[in-house]
Amino acid sequence: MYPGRPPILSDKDMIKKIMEGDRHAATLLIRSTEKLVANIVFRMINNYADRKDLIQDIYLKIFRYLPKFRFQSKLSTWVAHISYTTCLDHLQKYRPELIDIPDDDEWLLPEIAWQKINRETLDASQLLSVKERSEILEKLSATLPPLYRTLITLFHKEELSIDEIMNITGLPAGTVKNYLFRARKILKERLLDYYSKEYL
Amino acid sequence: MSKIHLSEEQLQRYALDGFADPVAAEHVSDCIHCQTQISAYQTLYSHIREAEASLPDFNTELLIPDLLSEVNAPDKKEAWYLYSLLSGAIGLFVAGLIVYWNTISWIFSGIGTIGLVLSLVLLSGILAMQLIELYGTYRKKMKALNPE
Repeated sequence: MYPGRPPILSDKDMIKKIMEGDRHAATLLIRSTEKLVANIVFRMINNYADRKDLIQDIYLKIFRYLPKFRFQSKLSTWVAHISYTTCLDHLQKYRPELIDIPDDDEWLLPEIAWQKINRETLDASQLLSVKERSEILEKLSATLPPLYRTLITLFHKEELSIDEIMNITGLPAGTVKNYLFRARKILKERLLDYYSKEYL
Repeated sequence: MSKIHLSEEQLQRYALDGFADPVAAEHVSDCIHCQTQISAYQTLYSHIREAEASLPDFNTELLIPDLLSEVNAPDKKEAWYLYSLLSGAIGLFVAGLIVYWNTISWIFSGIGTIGLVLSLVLLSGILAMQLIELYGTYRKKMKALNPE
């Protein structure tokens, strides 16, 4: 089941009921996975119309291939894997440059801009509203490669383990950890730069 | 106190789970630079954790197919397409053999039995390789739906 929600039906029961044509079970599946699916699609795809089409495509695939689900992972991991591969196929087809991973040097910022910033300034950022902080994060991660954005969301927001992320993305553990490290570093540099400009 | 700043990896880990070896922990307690870096990572993590959840802005329940049981049923249509394609290909091959039989028999008239057998083996090999490749692609697609 999707983390953070009480399991109403077990994965097995839910699939069985959906295959029998139970629309309520299908609704439960959508309700329990839509945040996860949206988190992946929204991080990987920028275009609004494409996002909607992809979410439709993902759920069509999920319902179509549900009988082929072999319980080798959690249902939510399988759903996330289908979402990820569908988005990746889309990116590879239309915008291959978006999944290019840049060299670290390209993203490093000069230290001068933020070296005067202190811990208090950063602590004060906690006083901002959730909406404001979400907007700041959106700004900071806007030009980050979709793969970095997705990994960061899966690990820090969805609180998935490295093993689960490996199952979803098909990337080796070392690559996942390396990309996460680089993504965090880039975001931290940008965050320091942002707060040094906004609040000092 | 150690004068060496924490590595980026140590900073990320410290901010994530507060873990550091005693030497690194002692350094952090007295180093404003490292404290700022850790605080930046902690701010970043909290921004991500508390960010507003993404949700589709349309009724996702509309995505449930009208006839669920039919969507989940084995795709007979797909099998029908496959059988038609296969019988069409065999039909074309047989028709070609009948129409061009004279030309074909003329081509092969100069080749001895061994040559004929070798040609057949070669053709079968090529065909088998194509089929294996096709099966590989199918397996890859199926594996994508059921990651280990």
